[in-house]
Order: sequence, then structure tokens, then C-alpha cells
Amino acid sequence: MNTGVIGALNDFRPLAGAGSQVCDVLEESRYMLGGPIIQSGRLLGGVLGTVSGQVAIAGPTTIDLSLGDIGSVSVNCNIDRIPLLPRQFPRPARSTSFRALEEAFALDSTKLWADTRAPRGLDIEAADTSKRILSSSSLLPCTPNLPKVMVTFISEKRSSSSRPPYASLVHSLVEKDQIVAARALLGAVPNEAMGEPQLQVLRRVLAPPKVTTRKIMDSDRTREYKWLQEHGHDYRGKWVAVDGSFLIAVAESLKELLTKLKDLQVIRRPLIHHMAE
Amino acid sequence: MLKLNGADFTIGCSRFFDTAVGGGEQTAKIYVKIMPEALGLTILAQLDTGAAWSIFEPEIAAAMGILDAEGVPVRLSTRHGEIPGHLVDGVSVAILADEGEGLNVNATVFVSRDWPRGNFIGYSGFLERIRIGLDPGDNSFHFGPIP
Repeated sequence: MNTGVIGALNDFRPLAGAGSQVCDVLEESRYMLGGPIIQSGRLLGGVLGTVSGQVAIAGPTTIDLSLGDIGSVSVNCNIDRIPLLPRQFPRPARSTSFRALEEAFALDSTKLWADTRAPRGLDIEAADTSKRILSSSSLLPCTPNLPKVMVTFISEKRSSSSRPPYASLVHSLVEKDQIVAARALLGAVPNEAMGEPQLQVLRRVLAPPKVTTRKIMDSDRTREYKWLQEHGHDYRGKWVAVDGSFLIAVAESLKELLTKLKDLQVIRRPLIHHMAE
Repeated sequence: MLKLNGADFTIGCSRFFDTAVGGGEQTAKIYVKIMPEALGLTILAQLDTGAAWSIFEPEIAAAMGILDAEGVPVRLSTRHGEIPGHLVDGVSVAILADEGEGLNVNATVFVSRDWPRGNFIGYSGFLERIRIGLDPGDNSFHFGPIP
């Protein structure tokens, strides 16, 4: 595994046809990560931010993302070198966005990535050797699970529907318990994309809790705690309802316990507990 | 109530239970009294600031009507392994007070049919907006809202 710090960027090789310009971009801290892609000032499919601190050239590492006013977050990720494009990789027809498109792809033997160099609204198509068309949506996000591809051509077409898959990226951060990062990314989603139902559900679920005061009291449960301590082991696996020093109901299931309590017409709220096995 | 720089830091307190009963893990934990609104009964939940989300036992979640509620499907990494379930928002849970005032939390919680046992109050979606203080001397749990 080739690792190092930012100073070892010579290890990167320029994209074919792009010359030293791409290297210059790399030195401005443009990295491809195993999870999200980070580019100077922007993180595609992840959290908006810049990379700071020591960064390994390749291999697993932790990167601190500065999120401007929002704060910062650490992300565990893999950094892969940007590989040399194969010689047979044909250039797309020249157009005003040629430069952007050329820089929009990097390829190695296992992964195909796109980055934010593709201008907003540009829908990209590429094809593998079996002529299977890969749309920009199949290029993103750049996860290790991407299918193995060998690109034979790329082309471009203008489309307003080309958007990073924000919902799946936010969701993947939630599954990694990176709630702060997920909220930051959600906050950075453009308004025009927030109409997606999945994003709306995520926004609702990830909203901080609302806490209000409530004039609701409970009785001192010291006697119930004492009962659990002294008798709990006799009721392993059972649901119990305890009021003061008394067991008022016991059942195999909560449903059964609730039925028993209803029949008993208890006045004071008992303490319900499911005893450990 | 606890004060910070002369102002109220917490608004209520209750006695927590710290003894493991029955089988399972026997190390002491902190169990606080809560009342899920939809259940209307007092239950104990383990205070776990290290838990990503709050979790209710499947039977309790079912009684609350949220076990099959729409939410965000996630796989939660736990000491029992990866558990598939849903994050459900808008779950009303009261933190009950023995003294002072209680709190009502409109929380996001994790529910799963595969969750083996125990109720947990976790950080995200619940504790993150609550001030807490613990006094192991008298087992008191102090709480208050973030202003």
C-alpha cells in the first residue's frame, strides 16, 4: 500500500490528455475517496467541505472535513490514486464543456468515478466493453461496490435531471452513525432537489428532537426498585407490573400484561418491566 | 434543581435504578423512568449516551403502534450485531419527574422486530437536546431542556 502525506502527490499521474493541469488541480487537494469524492472546496456526494490535515495518498485513513460555519467532522475512508487512463480511451467530441467532461472521469481496473468537474446539469453517458450504457446515475456514488467496468466511450448530453444521489448519500452516513455529517449534507442539498420524498423523510427523521416541559409527575419508585432487586430473578423472561412493594400482574407478553391490567382496573400507574432471561 | 451561574440548569429530577436484575449482563447500569405517550405506562430505559439512537423493545414499540410505522430503513450496529429496522420520527416520550417538572421529547427512535431486549435512551434524536446530571450518591437523575 502506497501511503504518504500531501507532499507525496508526485505519486499521482496526470489523466491522459489533460497534461499538467490536472496535476495542478490535484495539488490543490483534490482527492478521490473510497466513499464520497472530495474536491477542493467541494465534496461530491458527501459533505461540502475541504480537506485539511495529513492525508494518506492511498489506503485507509481518517480525513477531517471542514464544513465552514457548520463545523467539522471526521470521515473514515479509503483514498485511491487517480489512475492513468488507458490509451484506447477515446476522447469525446470537442465541445465547450470538453475540458470539464474529460476531467469528469477517472478509471482503474475496478472502479469508475465521476467528479464535480462535470458542470451542473450535465448528464454523462459512458459505455463499457459490452456496450452497456452507464449513465451518470450509475457512476455515482463511487462506492467499492461499483461493478467492474472498462469504458470505451463517453458522451454528454444536457439534462436538468442530473443530480448527485443525495438521499442515498445521506442514508449511507446515517448507517455509519455519522449523524452530524448526514445533517450537514442534508442542509447543503439545493432547494430544487429537496422535493424528493426520500429527502423529505430523511429531513424529518434527522431533525433534532423537540423538547418541552411537562407537568407530569411520577411517584417515588424506590419500593418498586427494591421489589425488582429482591424478586426479579424469580420472574426471568416475564413481563411484570409492580406497584409499591407488590407485584400486581405478571405475563409472558406485554399484550397479555396490558389485558390483565385493564381487567384489574388499576388506579395508580404501575411500573412495567420486562425481566431479563 | 441544579443551577449554573445562578440560572436553572435542570428543571426536574427522578430516582434512577442501577441494579441489573434477572439474568443477562450483571454490571450496573442507569435505568431512568420514562412514559411513552402512546403506551401511557411507566417503564425503565437504560440511559446510554454512547448509543446512536433510542430503542424500544419490539413489544413496547408494537403497543405504541410504531413497530411497522413508516420511517427510514437502517441497519444499526449493536453489540448484538447488525440489526435491521427503521428510524421513526415524531415519537412522544415523557421523562418522568419525582420532583420539579418532567419533559416531553418528540423523538426519533429505532424500532426493529429483531431487537432482542431492552429499552435504551440514546443520543441522536433524544438526549442531544437535554441537559442531564447524575448524582450516584442518591441515585438522582437531573434533567432539563436546552434553552
